[in-house]
Amino acid sequence: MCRILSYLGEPVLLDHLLYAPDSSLLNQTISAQMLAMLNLAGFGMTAWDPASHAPEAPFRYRTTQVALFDRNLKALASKLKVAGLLAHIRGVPYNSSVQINEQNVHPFRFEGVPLAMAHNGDLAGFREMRFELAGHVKPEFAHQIQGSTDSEWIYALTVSALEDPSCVNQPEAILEAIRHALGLIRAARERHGVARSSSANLIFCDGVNLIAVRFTFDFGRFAAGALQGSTNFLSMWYTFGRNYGLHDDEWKLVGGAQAADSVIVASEPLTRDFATWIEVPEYSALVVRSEGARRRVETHALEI
Amino acid sequence: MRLQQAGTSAGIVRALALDPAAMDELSRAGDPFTLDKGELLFPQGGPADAAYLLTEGALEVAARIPGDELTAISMVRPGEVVGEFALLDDRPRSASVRAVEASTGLRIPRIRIAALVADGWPPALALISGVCRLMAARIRQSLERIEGSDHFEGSALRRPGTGALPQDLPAEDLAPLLAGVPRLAEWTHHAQALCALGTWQHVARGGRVHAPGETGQALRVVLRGALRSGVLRPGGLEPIGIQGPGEIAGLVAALDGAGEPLAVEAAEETLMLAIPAAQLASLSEDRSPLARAVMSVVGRQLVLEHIRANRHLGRIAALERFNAAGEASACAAS
Repeated sequence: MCRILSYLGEPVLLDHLLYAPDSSLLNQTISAQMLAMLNLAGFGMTAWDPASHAPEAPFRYRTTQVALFDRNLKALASKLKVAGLLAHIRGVPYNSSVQINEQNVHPFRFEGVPLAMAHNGDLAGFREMRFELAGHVKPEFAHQIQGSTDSEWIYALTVSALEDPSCVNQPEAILEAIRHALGLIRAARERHGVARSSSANLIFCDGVNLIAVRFTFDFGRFAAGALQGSTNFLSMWYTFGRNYGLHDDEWKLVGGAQAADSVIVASEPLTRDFATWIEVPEYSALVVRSEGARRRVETHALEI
Repeated sequence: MRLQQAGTSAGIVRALALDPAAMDELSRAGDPFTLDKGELLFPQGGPADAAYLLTEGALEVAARIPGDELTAISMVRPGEVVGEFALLDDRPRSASVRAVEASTGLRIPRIRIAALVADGWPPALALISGVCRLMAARIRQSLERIEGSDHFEGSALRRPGTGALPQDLPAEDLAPLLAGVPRLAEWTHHAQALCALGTWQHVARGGRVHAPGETGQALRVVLRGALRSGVLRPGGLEPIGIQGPGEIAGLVAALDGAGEPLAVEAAEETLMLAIPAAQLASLSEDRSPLARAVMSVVGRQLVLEHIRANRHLGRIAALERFNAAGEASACAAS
């Protein structure tokens, strides 16, 4: 069912986000705190480094390997600092019906579009719904859909709803596009009589702004299926502060809320001690907005 | 240690609404504790293995918030109880407690009380019932703080539900519905008896369940779907929590008899079992397996509600500081 990690703030060593904390994203491959499954079906990240060549363009890394064993990633992570990160490990049902390939590894980001997206969840009935959803995907994006996941279609529907997807959009415009895309999916679910809850926890990031969605269609309405439609709302947490690092034997942001300049949003806290983490409210979006050197965090209701 | 002898049992008796004789008997189930000034009683995130009754000294309850700041939540004075979540649920401590003066009191281990409750020992049943009422009072206090605060995010407000009220349904077989809800696992053996306690109800998405201040309500056990509770603001509903399958809405009012503290509406189409508040009162000190199964779920829900309310307060406070700091630095930059 996947795990996501995102970060916006002062540059930090990638290793400190991906590997170092006791419940780091890569440790969640086999021992997530808030998800009873393994996440073995690939790792991907899109990351922004202000010191790099053409800093507005992110570097990307996607692999179908279990990233815990990926020495190349470990070596890169110990050298690179990032000011923005969207990383994902993919969890899928344990059977041979699932397609494991690079095209299905998150985050998704189309050519010429600054916005990237990763998904934690599963749209029930997607294979039947997608044909009618295709009409809402702009032609220039339809031909860029390379994989077979529901997630890539959520991304395609969202960027298709942006008036100008080629620029770094204001969070309001992205939020409207997300609402539009989720509304299309809700209508399609109703037409197809989908009788399973489906989670659409999404994180969008363009290196400037970040929007994290905690949303479930028909939460709790139906008997829970295996690995989805749980009686618990899929989790999403965030924390903020400055100077992310190891302080008093704990990986955390410090310095107080008033001095905060950095934000981490993730499917679950990166540490077993999550005293300084807060849940994104259900049926809501968390917006992390960059305004020059400062950032602002807001909660927005999602009424879909 | 006998609390009667300690001379400060009155406050504890008041806080838990216990019979003084029962309190004295209960003191035999506990162990004395002493703390030096500055010493930690328990850390936030630590295992919840006991409740503490303070007889002398003063304790500070504090929680960490984003940015790694410690915010004081409350002071505990002689005659008051702290860490009582531990008697109802085993989730980690939601705050840390430290002695701000040399302190003494009684430590009541969860495992010992759980065994005495299982035996049906009346003082232990009365203690759990008292802790539930104390929790209800504390939740109401936190919700009143939220309601009384002008600090809320306008962008997070939702259109309040205006749809039809819940409608009664003919009773169905409860067992298959309980089977899919891990939170109600203890109820699976009592499905038929539970059905007899209440009424089946259905409410469509967006339907109103109850308005703040309403009295005489039932508690509502969500079987399928989800309810949303929140504070009504001029611009809409400020959500405080979502009660999904296995959760219970309306507990605070059912326990303290005052009006509903929050507006409750259907976040999804919802099927519920509505149990009259009077039924809860009669089960609270009953030793039957059905009553204990009900009170066990009620206790866990109260802990969850209290944590939700306090996290909401923490989130609003932290976001306000974060965003206010942004304003300040922007002014400085310009």
